[in-house]
Amino acid sequence: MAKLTMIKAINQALDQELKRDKRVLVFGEDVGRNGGVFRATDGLQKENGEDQVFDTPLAESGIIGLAAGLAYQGFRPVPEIQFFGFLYEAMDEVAAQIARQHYRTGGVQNMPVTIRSAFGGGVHTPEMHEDNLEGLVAQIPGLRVVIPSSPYDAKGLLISSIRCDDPVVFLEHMKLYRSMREEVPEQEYTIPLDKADVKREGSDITLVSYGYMVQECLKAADELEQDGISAEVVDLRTVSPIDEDTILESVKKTGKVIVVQEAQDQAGVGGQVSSIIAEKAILSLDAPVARISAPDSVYAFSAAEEDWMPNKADIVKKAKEIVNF
Amino acid sequence: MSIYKFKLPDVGEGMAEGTIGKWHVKEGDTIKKDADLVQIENDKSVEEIPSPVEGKVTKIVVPEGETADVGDTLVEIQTAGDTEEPKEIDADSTKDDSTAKTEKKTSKAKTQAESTVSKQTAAKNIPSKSFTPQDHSLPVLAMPSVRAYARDKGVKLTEVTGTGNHGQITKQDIDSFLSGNTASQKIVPAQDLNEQKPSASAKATVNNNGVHEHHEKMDSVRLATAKSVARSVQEIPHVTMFDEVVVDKLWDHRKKFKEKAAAQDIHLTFLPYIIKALAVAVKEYPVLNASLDMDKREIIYKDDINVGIATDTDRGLFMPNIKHVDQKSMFEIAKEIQKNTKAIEDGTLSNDSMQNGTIAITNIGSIGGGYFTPIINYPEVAILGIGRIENQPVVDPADSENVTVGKVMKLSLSVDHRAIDGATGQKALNRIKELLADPELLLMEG
Amino acid sequence: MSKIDLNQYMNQPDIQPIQVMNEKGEIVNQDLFPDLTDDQLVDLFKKMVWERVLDERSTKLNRQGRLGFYAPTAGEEASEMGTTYAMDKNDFLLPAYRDIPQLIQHGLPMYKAFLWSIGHYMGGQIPEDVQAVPPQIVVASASVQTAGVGLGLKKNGSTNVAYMYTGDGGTSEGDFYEGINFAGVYKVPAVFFVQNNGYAISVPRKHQTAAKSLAQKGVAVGIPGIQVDGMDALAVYTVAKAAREWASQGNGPVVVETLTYRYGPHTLSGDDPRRYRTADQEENWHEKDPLIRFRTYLDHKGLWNEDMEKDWEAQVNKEIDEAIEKAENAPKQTVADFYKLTYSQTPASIQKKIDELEKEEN
Repeated sequence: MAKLTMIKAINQALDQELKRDKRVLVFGEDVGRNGGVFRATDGLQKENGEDQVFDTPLAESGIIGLAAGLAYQGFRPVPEIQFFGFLYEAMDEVAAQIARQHYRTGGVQNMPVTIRSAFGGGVHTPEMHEDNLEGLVAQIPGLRVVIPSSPYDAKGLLISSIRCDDPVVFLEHMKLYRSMREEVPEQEYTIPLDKADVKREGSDITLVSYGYMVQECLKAADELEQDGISAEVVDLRTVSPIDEDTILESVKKTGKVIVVQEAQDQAGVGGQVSSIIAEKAILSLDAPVARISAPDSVYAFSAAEEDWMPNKADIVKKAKEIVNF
Repeated sequence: MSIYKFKLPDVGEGMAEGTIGKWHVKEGDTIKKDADLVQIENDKSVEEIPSPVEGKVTKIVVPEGETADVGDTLVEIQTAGDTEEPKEIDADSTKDDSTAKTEKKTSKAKTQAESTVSKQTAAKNIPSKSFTPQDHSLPVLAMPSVRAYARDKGVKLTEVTGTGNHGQITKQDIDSFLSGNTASQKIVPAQDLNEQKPSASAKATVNNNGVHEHHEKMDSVRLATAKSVARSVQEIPHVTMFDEVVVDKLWDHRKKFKEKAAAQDIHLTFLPYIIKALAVAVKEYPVLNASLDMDKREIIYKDDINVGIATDTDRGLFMPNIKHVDQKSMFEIAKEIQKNTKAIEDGTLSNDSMQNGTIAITNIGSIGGGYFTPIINYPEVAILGIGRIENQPVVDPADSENVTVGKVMKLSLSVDHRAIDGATGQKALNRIKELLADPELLLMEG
Repeated sequence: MSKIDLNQYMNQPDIQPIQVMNEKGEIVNQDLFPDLTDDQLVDLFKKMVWERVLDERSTKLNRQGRLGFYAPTAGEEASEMGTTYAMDKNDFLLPAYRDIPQLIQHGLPMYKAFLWSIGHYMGGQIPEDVQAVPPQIVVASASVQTAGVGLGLKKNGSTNVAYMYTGDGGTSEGDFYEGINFAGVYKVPAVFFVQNNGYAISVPRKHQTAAKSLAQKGVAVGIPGIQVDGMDALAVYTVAKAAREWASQGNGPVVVETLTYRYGPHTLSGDDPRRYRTADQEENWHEKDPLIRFRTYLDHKGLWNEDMEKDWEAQVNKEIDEAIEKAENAPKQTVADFYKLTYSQTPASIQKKIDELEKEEN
C-alpha cells in the first residue's frame, strides 16, 4: 500500500469521486489550472475536464451561493474556500442558506454540498488563514463538520462527505497536509460521518481531540507510556454531530479525561464535549474534566504561534496532573 | 346560533397589547365578514381589524380608549349558522386542531384547581421533599465516581476523612473505612508529621507584595478541623460567658488522691472532676446537652451524656468523647482520657470514640491559657473552656475587708444562643462553679 | 487643477424606462406592444386582479390572526404578474418574501403559501414538478444562488432560465454584485429582476446608491441592464420576455429594473409608511395604478367589464377561502419533525433524540 501525505490522499479522493459521479463538481479560487494553492486539486481539471473542475471569481459568498444553486439543479458541488478565515465572507450562504435548505423545504431539497477548506495553525500564515473556526460552523444545525486527523481518514471521510446528501464542511489542517505519511488504500473507501474513532487504546486516561491535535495527543500518549500511564486517544472525526457513545464508553473505562482542541477555549467543540461527559458520565469521573485549548485571545501573531498553540508537552503535563488528582 | 368571541390578535411581531382606537360597530349592529370591525393602536402603528365572521354584535367587551392584552376577548358576535362552527381566534388557533384545544383548556382548568387545593393545604402541611436533600453544610470533597462507589457500599461520606491530594475522599479511603480498622482515622501521612519544618513539597515563593513565603498543603487533620470549626462559627451564634471559681478544696482533693490513682496507673487531672460537674449541670439544664434541627424546628435533647475532650496531639486536634460520664467513676473517666490520648498518638483511635458526642470540654489551662472563646463542636450546643488555675487574691464572701490568697480556676462557657439564653447558660455555669468549689458536693451529686 | 478631469470618467449610462401603455391606458409605443392574443391580454389582467384580491384578503386574514408574516403586494401587480407571464413552466424561480403571488402562479398551491406565512414546514415543500425554492428572507442572498441555478441549467443542457427577484435595497448587498458577476462570467441563463418600489422598508432609493439607475449595475459586470415602467403590465411583459429569450438563447444574464410602488406597509408586522412617505406621494402613485390603466385599455377594446370583474373576484375569493381552510387543517408540527427535517440522512446522535421524543409522545 502506498504511503501518502494527506494532500495526496485528498487529491486521490476528489479524483475518484469526480470520475465515479459526473454530477460532482470541484470549484473555487485557483482550483482549476493551478491545482489549488496547496495542490489539493492538482491535475484534476486536466484529468476530468473544465466542466467538472473550474475556477471561480474571487468571492466566497459567490462560490458557496453557486454551490447552492448547483445543488438545486441536482449536482453534488465540492466548492473550496481557500482559507477558512474567509468563511465570514460566505457565512450567510453557509449558515443561513445551504445548512437550512433541507429544513426550509420541509425535507424536499437535499443539499449534497461539501465545502472544503484549509485551516489550522503552526504553518506561519498571515492573519485569517489559520483560525480554528470549526466551533462557529459546528453550532449550525443541518451542517456536518468533518475534520480528518490523518491521510487515511482524510480520504475516507472526504469520499463519505461527497456522497452524503447533507451539506458538509470539510476542514483540512494545513499542518497535516505534508507533515506525515500513512498507508492509504488505492481503492475508494468510506468512513462513517457520525462515528468517532479510538486512535489508540488505553486504560488510565482518555484524550478526546480532533484534527491536528490528535497527532499531538498520540505523541503525548507515547511519552506518558514511558511513565506507565496508559492513555486512550479518541478522535472525534466529525465535530458536528458529535458521536457521544464512543466518548462516553472511553470515559467510563478510564474515569479521567482531557479534552484537547487547538481552537480558543470559549464556547467551542471542547466545551460541548466536556458538557456531554458532565451530563452523561459524571459518576464515572475520578477527576474533573480537563481542558486544553488555545488562549482566548485573537489568534497569535505568527512569530509566536508555537507559544500560543497547545502541544504535546501541555497534554503530558495535564495528564500527569489528572491521573494524580 | 352561537357566540363568536373575537380575541385581540398579535398584529405586529411580538405585540403584547393594543388600545381600542375606534369601534366601527356598536352593540346590536350586524356586521359582514371582512367588514371593518375595530381600530387597534399600538406603539408601532394603527391597524384596522376586519371581522372574521358575519353576525350581530351582542357585546363590546373592551370599550374605546381601553387597552387589551393579545388574546383578550374584544367583542362577542352572534353568528347565524349552526352548521359552520366558527373557530376561535387566538394566537395558536390556526395550528391546533379542536381536540388539542379542548385538551389544553381542560388541563389548564385542572392545574388551576390543583393550585387552589395546594394553596389551602400549604398552610397546614409543609410539603415533603420528593428527594433526599444532600447535607452541604460541611463540604465533603469526593469525585462523582467515589460518591457512586460510597453509595454502592452504603458508606456515608461525611464519616470518612479524605486523604486525596485536594483533601478529597478516595476509593481507598472508603475501602479503609469499611475494613473496620478505622484506618481512615490514620489519616496523617508520615511526611506531614514534620509539621514544624516545611515539607519537601512546600513551594517557596515571593508573593505580589514581595513578601517571602512558602506554601504547604494542609494535612487532612488540619483540613478537617478547619472545616469543622468554620461550619460551627458560620451556623451557630455563639455566646461565651467568662467566670472564675475558687478551687482550693478541689486542689487539695486531687492532691490527696493523685498518689492512689498513680498506683493504678491512673494520671489524675482536674478533668474528671470538671466532667463530673458538667454532667450534673446538664442533667439540671438538659438544653446544654442537645442539638438543633432547624429544618424540622426541633431541639433534640440527648439522654446520654457523652463528653468530648479536645485533645491536642502531635497529629493535630482530636475530639474523642467519653460515653455516659454520669454512669462512670472518676477513675474510670481518668483512665479513658488517658487511653484516648494514647490511641490518637498511636493512630489507633476507634471511629466510635469520635462519634456521638453530646457536649464538649476544651482545656487550655494546662498550657497556661486563661479566658478564651471556645468554638462549639458542631452540632452540639455547648462547650466548656478550662483556663489555668493560679493563686489570686480572693475576697472573703463573708467579710469583704478580708482578702486572702486562693487558687482560682478560669472558666469560659460557649453556648448556642439559638437554643440557650444567656441566663440559662450562666445558671448552668454557676452550678458547675458550685460543684467545682466543693468536691464533697460533687461526690454527693455526681 | 488636476491633470485628469474625472468628469470625463463619470460614464453613467442614460437608461430610460420603457413604457408601452401610459397611465390613461393609451398605447404609447406600438412597436413594443407584446405578441399576445386578446385572450392572453385578458388572462394577464385577470392574474393582476387575482393578485390584488389575494393581497386584500391576506391582509385581512393577517389582521384576524389567521395568517402570519405577510408582505403586501398591492401596487406591484404589473411588475410581478408581467414578469411571471413571460416565464416558462420549467424556468427556475428564486422569489423573495414579497413574491408569493409569482410563486403561486408558478405552481405552488395557495394553501402552501398560506402555510409558509403561518409558519409551517409544509409551506416550504415545493411540489416536485414546480421549479422553485421557498421565498428568500435574507435580502439578495438568492443572487449568488441564481448564478448557480443558471450554471446548473447550462450544464444540464437546458434552455430554461433562472428567475430571481429582489428589491431596490437588495442591489446594495454584496451578494447582488457577486451574483450578477458570477452569472456574467459563466454566461448563465438568468434574469435578475429588481423591483424598485422606492423604499427598502423606510430608506429611499436615493440613499441606496449614487448610481442613476439600478439597471446600470449590469454594466459593471458586462451584462445588459434594462429599466421598465413597472406599473405598465404590457411593457413589463415585453421586457421580461426579451430578457428571458436573451438568457435562454445563451447570451448570458440580464438585470431588469421595474419602477413600481407598494401601496401598503413593508410588512404587516407593524410598519407605518407614514413615517417615511407622504400622502401626496402615495396618491401620485395610485394615479399610475397598474390595474386601472390596463382595465381602461381592455374596456375600450370591449374585452372586459365590471360584471366580469365581479365574477372573477368572487372566484378568487372562493379559491382563497378554500386555501386558508386547507392550511388551517394542516397537521400539528412536532419537535421530532424539526429534528427529522434538519438532516436528510439523520445522524445517529440526532436519531437518538428523535426516538426519545417519539417515545414521550406515545
